[in-house]
Amino acid sequence: MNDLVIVGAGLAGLLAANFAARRGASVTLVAQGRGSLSLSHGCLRLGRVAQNPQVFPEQHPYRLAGLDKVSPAIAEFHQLSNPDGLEFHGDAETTLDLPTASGAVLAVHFAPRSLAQGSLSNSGKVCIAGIEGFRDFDPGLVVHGLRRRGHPVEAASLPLPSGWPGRDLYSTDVASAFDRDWPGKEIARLWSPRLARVDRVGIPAVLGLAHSADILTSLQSELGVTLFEIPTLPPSLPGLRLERGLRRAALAAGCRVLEGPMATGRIDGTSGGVRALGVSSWTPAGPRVVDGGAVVLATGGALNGGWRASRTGRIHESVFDFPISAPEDREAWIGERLIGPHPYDRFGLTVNSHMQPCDSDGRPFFANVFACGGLLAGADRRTEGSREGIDLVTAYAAVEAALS
Amino acid sequence: VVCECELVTAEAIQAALDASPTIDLDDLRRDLRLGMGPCQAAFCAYRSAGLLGGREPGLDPSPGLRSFLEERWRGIKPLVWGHTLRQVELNRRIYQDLLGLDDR
Repeated sequence: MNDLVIVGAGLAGLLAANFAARRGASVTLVAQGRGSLSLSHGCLRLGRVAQNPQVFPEQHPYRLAGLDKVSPAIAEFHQLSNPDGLEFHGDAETTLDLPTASGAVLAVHFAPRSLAQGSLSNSGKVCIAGIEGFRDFDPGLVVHGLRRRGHPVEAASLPLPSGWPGRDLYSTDVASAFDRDWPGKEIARLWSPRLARVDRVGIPAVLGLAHSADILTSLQSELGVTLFEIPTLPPSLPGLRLERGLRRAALAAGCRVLEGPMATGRIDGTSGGVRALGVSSWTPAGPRVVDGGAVVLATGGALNGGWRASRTGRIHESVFDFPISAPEDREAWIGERLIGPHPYDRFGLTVNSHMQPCDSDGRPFFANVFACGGLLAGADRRTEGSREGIDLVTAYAAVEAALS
Repeated sequence: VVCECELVTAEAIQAALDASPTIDLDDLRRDLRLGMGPCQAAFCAYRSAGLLGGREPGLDPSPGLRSFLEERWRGIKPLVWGHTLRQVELNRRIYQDLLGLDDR
């Protein structure tokens, strides 16, 4: 019997699993596939929660979780992520301005070392270098965008050693080849002549998955420059490294992971319907019961399947089928333009300050079901720049409530 | 391969640009079906914008990239529910959250 069943293996679920396991709880993480960290820049953006928390309305996930949770959650994140060598830099009050693969600038609060070294407020002559034949990072786009924003950077192009497969390479192909056998000397011989007279070089984020910290250190010393990585089109290695680090930390802390099957909520009929038993996990061999003292939903939002929208304009949460309120007219869900805010961004599960999903009258559906992360209603994570911060702080609060 | 859904290669794009020069990705879409598959340009919009920029060193490809994505959005707007909604959200994760395109 578990103390806690956590559903979802994205950032919120992995953090919740770690928080709970570190508190001595017996934890099983059930996930239908993986979360969306492969789409992530692998940094933490908190929004203006440290500078100006009053901008968040009372029903915002940050306020429901409690602003007093922000600092301890960040402190615990640092303990989790650093042993895997990712070495997160930054603080909650200021932001690092990092270049993106389209030449835009992303303001993040915490970034792994290989990205943090690309902070545009650092001095020195910067060169943005693509890798020949790699489609998912274009130095021309980066250079145009950064120059338009007042950063005078140069472009360069770097070859891969001979003997690579003559097919299209994904970032993960390059990274796993580097992990297996890092060709440091040859890379340095090929790249050095093209990087003369620059102080810092930005390259696509392909420097390994498991051994990225060592590869970065080795390449910097071979080339004699400061290197930084820029996340590519997905799969995005910085997100995958964070996923890997948190997953390993959770397993090391004793958490069990059941990956693949869909999870459906189980309700305790003998409790008068006020308690959940756990979930049924729909494995190919039939349903498998995963029960626990409490369930934490970390199943994500529109993208990850934490809720599903039907053609008729009804929206339901995926594990317990909790109703989610939304206008019946689907036209009211979306904005005018793709790149811009959309009303559905704020859709999600309503919770109380104990992180319990509630009905429209504010009553919890079950005493022992809690929710966190992208599933929660009431935030425009994109405009606020708060996506990872909400995952972190609400996972912390949900675990605390579930174990108390 | 630049567009995996419709199997459009870099060579096909270069040949189309040689035959009728353009800086508009939507012209390439009409020629080659670029970006018209299930992922609605999630991956090929960026890659093909890079190819256009490589041919015209003075051209900043990102305004064209943005308008190409908006053009695809107009086509799927009436269908945004179920899996299409997830697909739209995937494109926004990539272009807004990861690449930082904004509405300016």
